[in-house]
Amino acid sequence: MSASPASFRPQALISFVFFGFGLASFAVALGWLAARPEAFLGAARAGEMVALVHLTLLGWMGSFVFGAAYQLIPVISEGPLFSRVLAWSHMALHAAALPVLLASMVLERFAGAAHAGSLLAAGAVIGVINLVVTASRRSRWTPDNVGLQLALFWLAATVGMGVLLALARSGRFAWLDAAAVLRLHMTCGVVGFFAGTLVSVSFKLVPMFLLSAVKTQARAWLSIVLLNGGLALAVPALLGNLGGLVAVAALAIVVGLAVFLAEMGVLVSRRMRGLDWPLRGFFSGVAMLAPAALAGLVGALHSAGWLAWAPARPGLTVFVLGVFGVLTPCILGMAGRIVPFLAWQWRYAPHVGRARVPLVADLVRAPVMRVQFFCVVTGLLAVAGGVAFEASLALRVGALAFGGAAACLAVTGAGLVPHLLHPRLQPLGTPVARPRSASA
Amino acid sequence: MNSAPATVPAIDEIRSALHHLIDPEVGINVVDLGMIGAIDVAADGRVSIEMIPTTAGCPMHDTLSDGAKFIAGGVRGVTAVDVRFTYEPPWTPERITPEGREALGMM
Repeated sequence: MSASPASFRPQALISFVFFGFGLASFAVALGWLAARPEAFLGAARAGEMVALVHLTLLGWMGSFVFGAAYQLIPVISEGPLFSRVLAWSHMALHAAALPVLLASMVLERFAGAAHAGSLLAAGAVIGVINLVVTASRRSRWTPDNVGLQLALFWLAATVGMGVLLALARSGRFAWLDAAAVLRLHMTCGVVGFFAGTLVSVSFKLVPMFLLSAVKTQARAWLSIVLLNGGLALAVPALLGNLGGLVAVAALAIVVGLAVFLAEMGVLVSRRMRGLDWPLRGFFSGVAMLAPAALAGLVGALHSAGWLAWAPARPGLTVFVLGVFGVLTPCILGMAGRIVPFLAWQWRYAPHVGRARVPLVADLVRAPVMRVQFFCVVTGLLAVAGGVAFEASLALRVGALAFGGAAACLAVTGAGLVPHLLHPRLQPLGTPVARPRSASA
Repeated sequence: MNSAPATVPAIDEIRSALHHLIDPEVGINVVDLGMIGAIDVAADGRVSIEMIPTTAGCPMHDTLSDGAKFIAGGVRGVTAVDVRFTYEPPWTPERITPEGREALGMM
């Protein structure tokens, strides 16, 4: 029999601040996209598109992923966060440097971008160190734990290459093949960090939410090994412009993601409970991994000369499918689960066993979750269509639909405030209502 | 130091009291969820409760442990409560009682 590890309670406030910053960044990015869709179609100056991409990836997704990581890594590693001071230092650097970085990109002042990027990188490195130490203090050789630490490694690599790239653009390191470093920067960031985090976190959270367990550990390990092995192969392949090796690396990554999807499919098909709306949104994003990965593979095979056809702009297609098709629905879905849980944990956890407290599901409104789900689906279809057909109107519609989804999340957040201010407690003997979920 | 109680607490009474401890994520009590393992009662009223988390590293560990201690501590004759988490054997959905399955609407 194994005893329990040291006790801990997750930290909610740092996660809430990161989530708030992420949601604000998402709103700005969507407003930008709705007002100037040409920035996304490549018709505007390159600096504007680069800034919009970084606002989406770092401001929206990066903030949300870090906010979730400060909550989830202590859960996965079954111990407390290593340092709150480091976490707040990370937040301060992140919030201060990102606006300067974006402004420098829009104005195409790459020296400024390098300085702001260095500050942002310092914050990210502090965050990664804090999280890695947290994760490794109770090192468990499980696919989720190992996969998450590897994702943090790819984040560090992404940040380092981003700073290197900004320095190269500002006139230093003339010998550097900036185009190759850019491809690697994008691959490590989108695939290594974001997709790697999604895969690792799913192996932990999905069984937890479905009251189930990973059905085949070997499948989970295979997925992690193929994804990260493919990425490791992509480093020399992309730096050396070795098309054949890039295709092999892409194939390994795609097979790894396919194995992950197979495991998720088994978990969902054998689930013991119905899927609530946040989980439906999450799994919609997970399912979109298939077309996103295939688009990436087609692009890589085309570059290697092994395939005659490819989308007009494969990089942009993969980016749009990955960011708006996969990651945004996944993040919004997970946020619909994590944010109410954090509020519940903060306000009601101390009263458990002493008074009748609401269930986590009682803190959210199912109709709002349902509207959020349909906004996300509309948004991803419109944005994907807008990029495929270079249609500005579709991009505007997509931005507005995603804006609706973000507004729903904000409404959910606002609905938590009364609970935080005036917790609803009843005597312990009060009869319990039939369990319900946000799918009702 | 705890003095010996006048009445040794009954295990059934403790288990029954734990029906008031609800898993806030799942929505049913920890007994019907199958999270309560062995309950040991010593002659001096000390109680040891074994809890089986539905997943390793569940952030509800401390919350449910505190709740179990408080509820069991209120049972007549209990002088102290210790809660231990165990992962072996691991929790599986088969541990959910028929009442729990019905409450969850399990398929």
